[in-house]
Amino acid sequence: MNSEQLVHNRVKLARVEKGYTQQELADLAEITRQTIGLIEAEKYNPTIVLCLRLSQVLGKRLDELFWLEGGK
Amino acid sequence: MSKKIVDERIIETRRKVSARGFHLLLWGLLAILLYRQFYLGQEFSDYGDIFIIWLLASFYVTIAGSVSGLNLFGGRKSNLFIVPMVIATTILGVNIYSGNISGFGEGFLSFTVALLGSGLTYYIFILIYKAWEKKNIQE
Repeated sequence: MNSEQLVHNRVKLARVEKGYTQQELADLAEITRQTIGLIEAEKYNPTIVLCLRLSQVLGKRLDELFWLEGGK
Repeated sequence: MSKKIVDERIIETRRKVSARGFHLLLWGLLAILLYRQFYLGQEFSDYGDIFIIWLLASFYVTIAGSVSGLNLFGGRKSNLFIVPMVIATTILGVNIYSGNISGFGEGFLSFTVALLGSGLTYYIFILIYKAWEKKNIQE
């Protein structure tokens, strides 16, 4: 399996639905705003820990937020 | 007071940058060693300190990798290349030392010894890796 495989996500959509700014979401997930920006732009693959934390904060299931290229 | 953020991306980026810097340093030291030994023709005592640091760092990378279960040598394909190389170098080295083959310079001799040393080191780390596999991989 290629570890560089792209993970797609709906973080931006879920964030906007919740009415959070990138900074607010970053504060809730205890990461930096830049990381949120990179995840939303699909330029950074978060670890499973961060994925779970984001799904918790955004109130979505993990598979609703993240999926692998070719899936879904 | 703002809470200190431990961002995984920042930690990962720092590690990547450090690792690249470390490898740059390691290869730079090797280049310096070769330059001093073969171009400047210095004695071992002139560059021994750098050599020891370089050797320790290289050993650390290889041992830590092997103990953590990283196959650092690329598996079967590299074995196909390394095994004949080590056998050939051993035969050559023994013949040079026993005087059966002569006329080679000191540089060639140290190159042969280095090749032989790296071949033997390779097998030691393969053994460590195999031991790790045996211990950690379940049927």
